[in-house]
Amino acid sequence: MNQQDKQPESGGFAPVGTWVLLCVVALALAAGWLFLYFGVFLPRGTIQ
Amino acid sequence: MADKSFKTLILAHLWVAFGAFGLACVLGFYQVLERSGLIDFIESPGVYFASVSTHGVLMGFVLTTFFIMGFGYLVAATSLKTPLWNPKLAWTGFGVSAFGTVMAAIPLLLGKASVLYTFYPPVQASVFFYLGATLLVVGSWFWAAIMVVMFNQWKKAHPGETVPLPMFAYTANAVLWLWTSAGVALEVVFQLIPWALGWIDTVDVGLARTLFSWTLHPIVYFWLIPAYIVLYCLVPREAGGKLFSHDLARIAFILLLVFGLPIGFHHLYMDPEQGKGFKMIHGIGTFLVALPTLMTGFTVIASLEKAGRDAGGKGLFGWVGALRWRNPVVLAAILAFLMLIAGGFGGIVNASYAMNAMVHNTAWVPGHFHLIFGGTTVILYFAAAYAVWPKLTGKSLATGSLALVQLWTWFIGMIILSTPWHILGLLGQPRRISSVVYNSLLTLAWDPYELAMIVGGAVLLGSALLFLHILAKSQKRGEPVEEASAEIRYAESEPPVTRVPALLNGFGFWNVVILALMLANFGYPIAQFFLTKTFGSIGWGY
Amino acid sequence: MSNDPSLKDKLAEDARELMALPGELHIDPLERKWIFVALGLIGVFVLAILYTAFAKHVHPPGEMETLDSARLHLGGEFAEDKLGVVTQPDGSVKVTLVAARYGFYPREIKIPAGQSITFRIASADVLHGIHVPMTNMSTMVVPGYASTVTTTFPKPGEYPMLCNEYCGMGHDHMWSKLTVVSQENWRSGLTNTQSTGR
Repeated sequence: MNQQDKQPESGGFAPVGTWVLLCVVALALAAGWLFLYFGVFLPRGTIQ
Repeated sequence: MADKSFKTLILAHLWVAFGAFGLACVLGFYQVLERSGLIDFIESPGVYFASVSTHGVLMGFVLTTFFIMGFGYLVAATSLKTPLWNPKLAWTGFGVSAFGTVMAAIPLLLGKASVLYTFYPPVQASVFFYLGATLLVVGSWFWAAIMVVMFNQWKKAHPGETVPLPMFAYTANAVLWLWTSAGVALEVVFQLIPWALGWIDTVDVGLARTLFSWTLHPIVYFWLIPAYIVLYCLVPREAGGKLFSHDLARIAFILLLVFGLPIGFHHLYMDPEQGKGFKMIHGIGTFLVALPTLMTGFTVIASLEKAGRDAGGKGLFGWVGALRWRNPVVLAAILAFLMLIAGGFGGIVNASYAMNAMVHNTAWVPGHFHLIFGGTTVILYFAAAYAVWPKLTGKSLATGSLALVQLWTWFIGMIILSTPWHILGLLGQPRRISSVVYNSLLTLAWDPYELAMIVGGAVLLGSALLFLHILAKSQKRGEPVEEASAEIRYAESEPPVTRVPALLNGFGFWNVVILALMLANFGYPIAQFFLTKTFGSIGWGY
Repeated sequence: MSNDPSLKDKLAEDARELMALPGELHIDPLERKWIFVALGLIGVFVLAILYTAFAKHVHPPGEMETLDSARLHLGGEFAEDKLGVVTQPDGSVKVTLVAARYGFYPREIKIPAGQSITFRIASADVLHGIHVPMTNMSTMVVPGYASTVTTTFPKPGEYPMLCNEYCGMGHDHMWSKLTVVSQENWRSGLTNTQSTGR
């Protein structure tokens, strides 16, 4: 019913601030994890 | 809802929960002080491990279960606008759980159950500890049954209508709990109790750990879902707005229920008794269950953004400043989200398959769960208490801006406590030690972090006592409020809720999905213990 | 056919509803984008893990292998005279340890840096965890099961080998000493003595 509907919900309100904030958070999470995984964990030695 | 005995039932649950919480905070402060080695004469492994065991049981099993039951009955009755079904049964459940708690508390406080809140065999506790813990869980099953019955009765009486979101989510939590608690129930009833009674000589430790891991992950969602209900169903209204995305809220709760269950092996990544294949499957499942939390962040923060913009906030982030920071429920939500980002990050690291080797059983682990549980979840329990206290007691919250001080200090204390704790983990400090006696240079790096944690612990203890003070003072000496103005008002949705698909209004289908996933993810891993010859362990003292 | 649908029919109907669900929901366009971002974020982690698992063999330890912890001392792989560091004919190094209250035995061992070391560990009593800080040597030691973990130690030095699972009142004191020697010192040590350090 709403897949074609590109209008924002809630009478014209689009949560742009939330979107930007959470995209920044997502980038920070990705950067932090990649740093820990490839920069701290793997250099400590192989494991299996 | 003017029923006095109903309010007494809820208050009984909440006071047991918060009383346990207060005692556990005192123990926690003792623990952080003892570990630092700063004060010679309090050092004692015997006292320390009895304290940690008691602290863990009180925080992880007593505070949570009683709060969740009490708040659950309240949400059921107020959101469905029906009286509580079978109050006698509810009181019986409360009694069984309370009796079990006392039965377990006695050996714990006497040092006869220093097996920590995970009670892994073959270190063995007094049988009364296991029996008491079992009764605590059995009492909660009465609660779960009442929630499910009320859910179904309402649907029968309102055919085709949408179950109000608070009750839909809370019933999901009850269903989750029944599935979750089965694992530890099997372990305790068929292994630990007969073994502690001497009816069987040995227990298979690998099987015990596997059964416990069944419970150990979804139990955190059992704790978290009521906090999310505060976020979705109380916070938007307290912020002066409405819930942004009702349909996705229902999906988030379903995803938590279904994907929170079959993923326990991320607690067993370093264990020898399960193989890499199942560990990988559980690991991927664990990453999937991050999705409903990420969704929750968007939905609730978007609701806050709309409220902030309506209040005059301009530009990309002006709405943040325009929020009702002086409303305790809103403040708690903001602080909860900050801790959820950091705590969630730690959780993702824990879930990351082989990378778990970097953090497993190090100080990182308690740092993580104090932040995500003691921080995010418990601060929202505080918010719930502040929101419903006037309704339950007939008095307004007596103490002005003290609630804001209490919430800020809880947040600040938790950051000061948990940040060094995470670092200690990366520096290799083991968990569950009462002192640092390794004669190794590597451990010298740990000292400053231990000292910093004492400050965090002290701030948290003060905040906890303030919380109890606020509740007690309001109940005894607060200004009386009119029944009508103390009613619990749940957030409305924007756009308003219309009919939802049946799949988002019931749990029959989802129970089948859960069954299939549990069989796939735990079937063989449990069966293998019965298909191979295994060697059990006798009981060991400590 | 009865009036009530059978369980199978009901499930089939639910599955059809599930497929149709996305089209029936009110989802804000920005939130829909966020869900894709969230899935993408999760995808980054899962792909990195899958890649390192299959291309680089990065895994946690674990395959089920039972043993009788109460009888370790009576013979077999974990008998006392078999414990310690052994260099295999092909140059690979195997370390056999017993975890028991309160130490990992033998309590002082020497291994080479920069090559794959396989640890075989069994508990003689209760649950233990073994971890060398700042390295990826980490595994649980569960009574009744043999633990195997293979890792490399990039940096020579002296490391404590710590127990990180509560095992009783002496848990604080449960540790052993691991010395990681550089490759050249290890090789010259090997030619000097026919057997390796225990």
